[in-house]
Amino acid sequence: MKNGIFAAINIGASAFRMHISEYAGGEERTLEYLIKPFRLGRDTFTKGYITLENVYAATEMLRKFRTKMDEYGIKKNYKAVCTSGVREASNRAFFIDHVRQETGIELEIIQPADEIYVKYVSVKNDITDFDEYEKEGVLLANISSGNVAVAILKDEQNIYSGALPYGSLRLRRIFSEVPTHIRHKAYEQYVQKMCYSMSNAITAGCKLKYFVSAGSSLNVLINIFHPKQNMLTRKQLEDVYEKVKHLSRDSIQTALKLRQDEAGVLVPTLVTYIKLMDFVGTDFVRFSRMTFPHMLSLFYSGTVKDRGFTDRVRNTLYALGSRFNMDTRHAETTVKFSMKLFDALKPLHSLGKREKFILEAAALLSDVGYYIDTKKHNQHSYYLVQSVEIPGLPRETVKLVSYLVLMHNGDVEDWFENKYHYFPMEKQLLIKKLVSMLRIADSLDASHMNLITDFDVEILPEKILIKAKCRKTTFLEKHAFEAKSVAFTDTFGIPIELETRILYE
Amino acid sequence: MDIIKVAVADIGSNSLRLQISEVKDKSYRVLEDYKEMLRLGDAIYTHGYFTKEATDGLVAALKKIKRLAESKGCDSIRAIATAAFREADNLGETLHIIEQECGIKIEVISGQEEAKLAYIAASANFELKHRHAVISDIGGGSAEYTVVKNGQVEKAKSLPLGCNRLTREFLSDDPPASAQIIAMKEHIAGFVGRMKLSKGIEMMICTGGSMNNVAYICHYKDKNLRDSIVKYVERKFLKKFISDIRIKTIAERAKIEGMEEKRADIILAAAIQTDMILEEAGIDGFYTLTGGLRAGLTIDTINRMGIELPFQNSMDSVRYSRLIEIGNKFDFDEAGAFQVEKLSKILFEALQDLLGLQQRDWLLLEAASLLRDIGKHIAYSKHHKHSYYMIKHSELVGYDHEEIEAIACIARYHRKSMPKNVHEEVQLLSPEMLSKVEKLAAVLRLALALDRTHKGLIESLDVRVSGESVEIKPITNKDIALEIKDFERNNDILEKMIKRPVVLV
Repeated sequence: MKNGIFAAINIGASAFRMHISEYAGGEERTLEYLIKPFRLGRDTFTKGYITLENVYAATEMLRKFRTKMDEYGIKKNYKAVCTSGVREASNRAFFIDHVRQETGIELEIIQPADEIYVKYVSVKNDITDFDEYEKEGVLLANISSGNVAVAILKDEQNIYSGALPYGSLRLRRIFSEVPTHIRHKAYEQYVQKMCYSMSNAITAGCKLKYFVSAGSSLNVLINIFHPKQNMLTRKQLEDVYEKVKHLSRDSIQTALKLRQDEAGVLVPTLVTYIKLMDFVGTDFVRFSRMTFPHMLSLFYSGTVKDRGFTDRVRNTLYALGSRFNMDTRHAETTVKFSMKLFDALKPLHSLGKREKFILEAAALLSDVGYYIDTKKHNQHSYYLVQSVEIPGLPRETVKLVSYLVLMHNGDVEDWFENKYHYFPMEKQLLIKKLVSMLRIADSLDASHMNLITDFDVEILPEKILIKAKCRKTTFLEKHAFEAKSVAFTDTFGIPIELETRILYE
Repeated sequence: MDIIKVAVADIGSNSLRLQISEVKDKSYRVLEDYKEMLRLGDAIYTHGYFTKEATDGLVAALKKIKRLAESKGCDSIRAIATAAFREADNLGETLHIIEQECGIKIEVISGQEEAKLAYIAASANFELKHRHAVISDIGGGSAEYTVVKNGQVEKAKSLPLGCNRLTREFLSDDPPASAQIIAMKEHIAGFVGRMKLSKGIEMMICTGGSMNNVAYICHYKDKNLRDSIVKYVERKFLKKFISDIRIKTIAERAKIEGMEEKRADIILAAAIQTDMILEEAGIDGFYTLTGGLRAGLTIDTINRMGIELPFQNSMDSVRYSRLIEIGNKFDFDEAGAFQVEKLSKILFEALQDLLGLQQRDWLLLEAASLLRDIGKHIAYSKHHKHSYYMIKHSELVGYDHEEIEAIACIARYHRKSMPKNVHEEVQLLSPEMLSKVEKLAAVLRLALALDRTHKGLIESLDVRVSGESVEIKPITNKDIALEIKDFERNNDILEKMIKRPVVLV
């Protein structure tokens, strides 16, 4: 980011936080960090909305943040995000509007996938060996008051990510009426269910090695253990858990010299950490001490970068394809052919790197719909791709990929144009260009038998000529090419033809 | 369990069809359905033997499907041939050529075996246990009729009434002359009379391609119906269809919306024959089943591997077995599904009158209680929405279109928000069905709460309904703190509906 002062605000379920940084010459310096405990989540997690009284109180608190921002001369150079405490409140729109009217602060709701992504990128940059952890299997959990946001990575793939409603304050609110001496059992059962959900979502036999934590829940543990290194052991956590699990909040507060709000969430926090250690099969939890607003500041200022993003997304898409039983050989061939076409036809389409990646993803996933049913598989592929959530991959990109897989096959152009008629001309043209190339690439392996081994592309004044080398006669390929090349001509205004040459029979 | 791939081919007088399936646990999923209209019957019913052109065409097509099967990971193809082969003078020679050229050994099956396969396919899709039904498979060369009474085959006949054969023998003019049609009807009547269809037949199921084409044309305007495996056609449509096409030339018939071009000549013979059977049995319409013979062949091949599908073993309901099959297909938690189904049933029976539900409505709740979580196979996040999509696109048996929509909706609303008018899903339901969905979703939520830990802790429920309240006593000796808590969070929806407290005692 350019040199200057930047504020990052996080409206969490249990506190409001603001981090003010100065950026100069690519370096960041923390100027001020403010934290105001405020249990917005108490309303949301019990009533489903934020009471008017608390809307006003929260606005007052943010007015003070505004004053602080004014002191630093911050006008628009800030990012203010709300997590589950606001995200899940039914009157979130009113809350955000009221804050804007009264303080001028523009709040944004951060979606769980984006929240975990910001944390992932920050932790990756903060923990030296994180790249190694990613290869061997790591569970990154952001355990906060409202949610436990989880990303599981292995073999440089994102194999799971999600925000699960098991934050410590939420657990505390759900079981507030269970008697203190047995409440820990309810927490244990409940968190076990979270682990059950995660194990359902990952492949059986997938072994993890590391557990890394971030999030507001760490503060209470750091206050208790004062660890010198950024690591806690199972024994430390279990010892404290055994000591406090039957105790009331006040007794915990006295015994461990904690703030009242910290004491209140200690038992559910410990349960969550211990259960996640069980899930990973480790006796250690490593952590980053960075706060979420600090992470937000570094992320949105562009100070931290996601190393290996494209490769990870690519690996993750392959893993997704496998999950839906894709025909790997056909998928790889379609990717290879579509990439070759894209490069060869560059003078015609003038598209860039981002668009090439969209085509690659669509070529890979175009047939995953077979997993649901053979009939209308392109529509099922569209549905499955729309459900993909990969941290860091913009929603718009996912949507574009889904449009491409929908139209790689079948007669859906009219339906599509009707439904998405409001898309700007440029977007419609982009989709058409990519679909045209995808259809050609798909048709060149219509039999799924890799009969065409390679091809050359010639751009002639009157036509585009694909000169393909084949192993055998390509009945299906020729037939499919004829049907699917219509879209190409309609888009680019030039016919495309296929010439095949059998290398050996 | 390992995944096994099965490839079967059915070489009929009209078409050659390949079906590749994947067998996993107690279900199978069709990966590929491939068809080529070879019209072998043209040669057989004109010359009495396979001409060189017919043999060459068949060899080329078999080579193609063999490659296709290999590309999908199948080691071998089980290929069967029917009437055209049975009657070819040069059968032995043709089989030898095929084995030499393609490495495929073809089983030429008898009419009786053909009827058995059609029966297997029909019994996988229709509840035949308490029915008296006739299953017809009008192919190109022969027509197989199986009469089923109370789930047992009463008689099976193979008649030389294939539609290609009848067309060649009787309907030589284009359009056919009335005298030709009368002669054909007399010919058919002789065979039908000798078949002596017993009294009291309630339903007719047609599995052949030509009658499926009639059903497709009948429902052409309704996209949902025309693509479903099972369709119902009223006799009055069939009569009108016959009177329309008998005066049309083949070229004119081919222009009818939904007509398969290569069936335009032979469809009349199949339609007339079916109408005569309906007349004889005194029924008002017929069902069609897509993919009858090859589905029967796939199931028979799976059986030969020692695997029985759910509908073939102790579970005597085809409808129920299909639910389990779909659950298995998407890796559902079987034990958890059965527990929630059990609790749902107890609650349904106790609350049925109070909620104004019919006995048939249990079948909706039963399906939703079993399949509510299949969406987790796509992603945990929003899995209720994924379940909705997957249920809608799985071929449930024994439910009509609106009921399938309702089951999908009950699964959709088993968590998160209840139905709202703005939801697209809700707009597809009639007001009466929406009311049922709300009630059944409320009951399902309670059953789910009572198995919150997914451990099957509650053996049974004792439900007492009075004018003041509904009291539910869980029968268990286990710690069900979490179930109690979750029940208390979910009972309000039902309480509002029945205007009285719903409490655990």
